[in-house]
Amino acid sequence: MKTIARTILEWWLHGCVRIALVRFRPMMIAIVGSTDKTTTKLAISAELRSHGHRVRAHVKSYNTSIGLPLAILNLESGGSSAGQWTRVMAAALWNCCFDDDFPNIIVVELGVDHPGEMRGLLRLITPIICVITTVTGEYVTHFGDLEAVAREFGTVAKMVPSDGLVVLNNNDLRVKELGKNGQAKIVRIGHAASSDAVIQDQQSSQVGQQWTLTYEGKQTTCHSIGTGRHNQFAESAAVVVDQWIDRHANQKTV
Amino acid sequence: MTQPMPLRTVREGIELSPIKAMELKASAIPDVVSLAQGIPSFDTLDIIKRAAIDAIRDGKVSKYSLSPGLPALREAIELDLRGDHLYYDYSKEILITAGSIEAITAILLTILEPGSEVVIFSPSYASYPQAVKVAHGKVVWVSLDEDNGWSLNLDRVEQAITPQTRVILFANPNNPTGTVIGRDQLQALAKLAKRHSIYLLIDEVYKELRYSNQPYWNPASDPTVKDFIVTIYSFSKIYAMTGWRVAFAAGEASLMQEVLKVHDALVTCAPVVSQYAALAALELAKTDREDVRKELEFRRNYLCERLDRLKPFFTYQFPTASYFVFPRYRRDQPSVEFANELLERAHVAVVAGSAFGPAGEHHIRLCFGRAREDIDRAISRIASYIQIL
Repeated sequence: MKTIARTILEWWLHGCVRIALVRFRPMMIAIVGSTDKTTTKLAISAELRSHGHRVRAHVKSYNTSIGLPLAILNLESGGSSAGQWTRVMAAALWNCCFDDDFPNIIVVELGVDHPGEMRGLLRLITPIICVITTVTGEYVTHFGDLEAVAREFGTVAKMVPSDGLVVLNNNDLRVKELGKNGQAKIVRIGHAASSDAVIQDQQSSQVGQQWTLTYEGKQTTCHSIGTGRHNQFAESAAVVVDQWIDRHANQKTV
Repeated sequence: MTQPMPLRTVREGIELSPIKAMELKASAIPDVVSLAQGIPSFDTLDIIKRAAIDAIRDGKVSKYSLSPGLPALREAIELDLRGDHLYYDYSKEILITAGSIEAITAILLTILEPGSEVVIFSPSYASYPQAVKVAHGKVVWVSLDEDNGWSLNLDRVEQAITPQTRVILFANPNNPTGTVIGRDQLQALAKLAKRHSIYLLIDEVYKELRYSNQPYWNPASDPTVKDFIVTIYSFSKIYAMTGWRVAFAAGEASLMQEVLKVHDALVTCAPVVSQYAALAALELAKTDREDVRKELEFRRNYLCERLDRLKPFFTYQFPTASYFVFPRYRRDQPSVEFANELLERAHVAVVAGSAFGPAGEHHIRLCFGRAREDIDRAISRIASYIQIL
């Protein structure tokens, strides 16, 4: 019974998302990885908002077949209540048709537990930008090994169209190798000088940390209130994504 | 005949927590109502249980996690702490533990050397002295001032610090008094810790159970003193997850990386199923916390109203947090004896105040986390009993 209800719910929510994506045509940014997805999502959405973009990034890490539609349509989980889920379905229908505040850009996390699940999520959305954070052992259970996890994440990079952008964490030995057979531009961010966007001159400050990001010959001073390398990657990815969107928008205007 | 070596726990007086000892004793007596151990009467929320069941079904919990804990949980905690202006790098500074007492013990084992002193406020949580003894330390009590709402006298704290002092350990909100140390005193404590190069170990397991408008503040949000502070949090109380044994500690990287070694030696990692449950609690159950808090506030008011009717036998400081009331009783009898008498004759289990340090003598601790009916029955029985004294 629960499986039938779940199937109906999933079908309904996916249908609503398809309507919303056709109707509002938002730019989709997908964050993929074993860890640091939420940190990166929040950093990118904050950076884009600070430059005047209308951005949606759900505060929760909804990233599964049911969670992803909730994130896109800005809804909360119905928890264990059938009544709540009925209200969620009604709200989904309303939001996909009449949401006046529907954003131009949506930043979502994509999460998988089993091989092949990523393709299911990619049937729902086609990201124009994909950011891949890490490949770690956290969700390796059904994949057999970390290489299989990396391949799963790599399917997103391959799906990004030729005018899109793939941002990779060059500090992660598996992530840096992804996206090679894709069509989109790849930017590898890391601390090594071989990175496309190099993080250097890191310093702790009284409030968080700061560093210099060197990308396409331009140096940007970045700040993060959070500490640690994952925050450096997240904020640097936000800078790279913001620059790409600015350029993309200008090219479209031209 | 060869005898086994004498045991250190016996030699050094390490005891089972008096709270658990009372629960054990109470369990042997039929029809006892217990307001002893700090256990909320609620069940863990369905949404949390379902996440744990899904994780089990999905085969995610049968293997160890990384010793510091699931990265996703630690990342969620890092982001959650930002809301309180606390900034930690989850990869090095946040450690998931098997309950808060494991975190406290692991931290003390890391920091203390034989003979090191730990300043503990009296009254304080009964397991602190045992954890200090396990870590070869020596407890130095600093009494709180009952007549001033169990307030902290900073001069007394400073006087208690010696060259052997390594840690000041306290709960905020405090167990058993239910009082909260305010920002000014916390700032002063943090500066004191920095001046003497000692750690403030702050146990915030009752952080979410505050009933007044007094704003929450943790001195680790001040970057000038952050390195001297380690904070312990727990999922047990507000999410009704005492049996899941999952908590976390946040502190400066170089200390936490050392604590990790002790944690690894003690438990390898916190129970993985509980870590998935904790992740669900953080991500999905935050809105339900308010319902729990409101219900506990109701129970506090109810218990205090009932105690008011038993004046002047009981007098107490009104608790603004936690789920305990700590009344003083007007009778010249040690609290252990009085608590035993209540158990044996009134069939009500409470914790003797002396379990919480010298200043707790002539008090008992009552937990209003228990069900309303239990509170009602327990107070009625106590009232009947003290009438015949």
